[in-house]
Amino acid sequence: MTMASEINAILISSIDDVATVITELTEGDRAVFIKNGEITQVSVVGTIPKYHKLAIRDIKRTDPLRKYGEIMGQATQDISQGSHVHEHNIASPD
Amino acid sequence: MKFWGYRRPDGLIGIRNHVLILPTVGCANETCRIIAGLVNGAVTLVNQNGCGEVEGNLKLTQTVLSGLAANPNVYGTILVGLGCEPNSVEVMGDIIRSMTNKPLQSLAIQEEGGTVKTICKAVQLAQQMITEASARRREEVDISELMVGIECGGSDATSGLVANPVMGHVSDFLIDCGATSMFSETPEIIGAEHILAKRCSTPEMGQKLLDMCATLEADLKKVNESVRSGQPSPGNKAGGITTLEEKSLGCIHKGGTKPIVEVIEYAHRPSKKGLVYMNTPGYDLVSVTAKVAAGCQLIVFTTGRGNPLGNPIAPVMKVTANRDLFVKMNDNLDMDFSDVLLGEKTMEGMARSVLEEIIEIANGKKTKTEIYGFGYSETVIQRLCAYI
Repeated sequence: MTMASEINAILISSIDDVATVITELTEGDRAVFIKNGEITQVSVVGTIPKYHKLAIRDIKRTDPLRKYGEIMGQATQDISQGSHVHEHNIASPD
Repeated sequence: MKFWGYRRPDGLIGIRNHVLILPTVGCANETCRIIAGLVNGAVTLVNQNGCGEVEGNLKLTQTVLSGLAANPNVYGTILVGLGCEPNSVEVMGDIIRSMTNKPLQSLAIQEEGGTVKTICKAVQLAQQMITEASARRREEVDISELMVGIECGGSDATSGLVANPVMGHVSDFLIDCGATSMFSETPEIIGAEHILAKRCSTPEMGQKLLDMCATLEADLKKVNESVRSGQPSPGNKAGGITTLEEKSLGCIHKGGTKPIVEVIEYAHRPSKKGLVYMNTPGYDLVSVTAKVAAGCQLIVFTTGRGNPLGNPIAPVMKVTANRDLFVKMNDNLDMDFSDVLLGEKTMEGMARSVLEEIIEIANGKKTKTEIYGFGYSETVIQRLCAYI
């Protein structure tokens, strides 16, 4: 069972598509965060640097991305769940 | 809540007691630097402007310089000009006198007969003014007399997650106590301006805020530039911020949850107490300068990447939620919020600690920026266009 002490990422709003990791996570790690009061986990793909974002669901190219419950970007390519989300795969919305 | 401050003859309350040696034009900067260096108790600043500027830029210069002289942390001002500049000591003196009845003296280098004579006379005037200032005593006043500017600079992802939201709680507390909280940085609300516009107390005010964002983008477009070319900065991106919209959504948390009671132009003094939004650039030197010119006695500055910036007139308290940074750049940081990020303290609990620290600093505790004497070269005034 996953414990609250294992939390290593923060999801700000329950409708967000990305969570922020509070420690570096690498391939095979689990990102653990709270969603709707429940401990939730996602398998990490690649490396997520400390304080960077990972996708908590599969995202299609041109999909809007939400953080703080608001649109903060748009995918420039398909992004798989658990991957690093940054300049290489998202941009400001049109 | 109460703090100990200096009551000025115009009724405002200062938390510091500086004599300001104020150059009205760049040509007087070095003279002012020497004057301030010869006495203990005076501050000065680099003013790049006051001549060679179009009317709109001159107006910005005058608004900032008169605002700094009128800031209640200043006991009195000695204006030093050259003599042939549009922003003469007579012009600046009239503007300052229209805002405050605090002590004011003025000298022009050409009239005095050179820098050495100006320095000799100004040092005598400064000595007398510092003697008077040092005889003032602090008195206990209500926290509602405070105007706190909240700035964010050198942001990383922890700024939006914790540091700015904690400061939002602090802002709400201050407003509940009848004080004023001011936030700004227009490029850093773009993408989130629709949220702030809804929090303005009238639809007209909300539209004014939206227009400020649209005007900024349109003005940059006229010169084939974009607000997005420098935002987010390389450091922001390394710290996990990807888009301007993401940065803005994190930045606006500084403003808490209270209604915005006033939206003001660059460096203008608010006419109401409560939550105030000011139109400033995101460049911290230009933005902090404007907040102090508007009358903020204290600036709280959130950062995730670290920043040493100070101000000659107002203490700048540096806070971060990035524990690695707090350890690494401890020389430049006053408070660590990382317990909130690690789930060891609540946002509200941290905000109460910040409020206590604000009172301590208001009472005289020095911030690191003050201990190092930072700020002399860090007052920068917004420009509309090229010099002439």
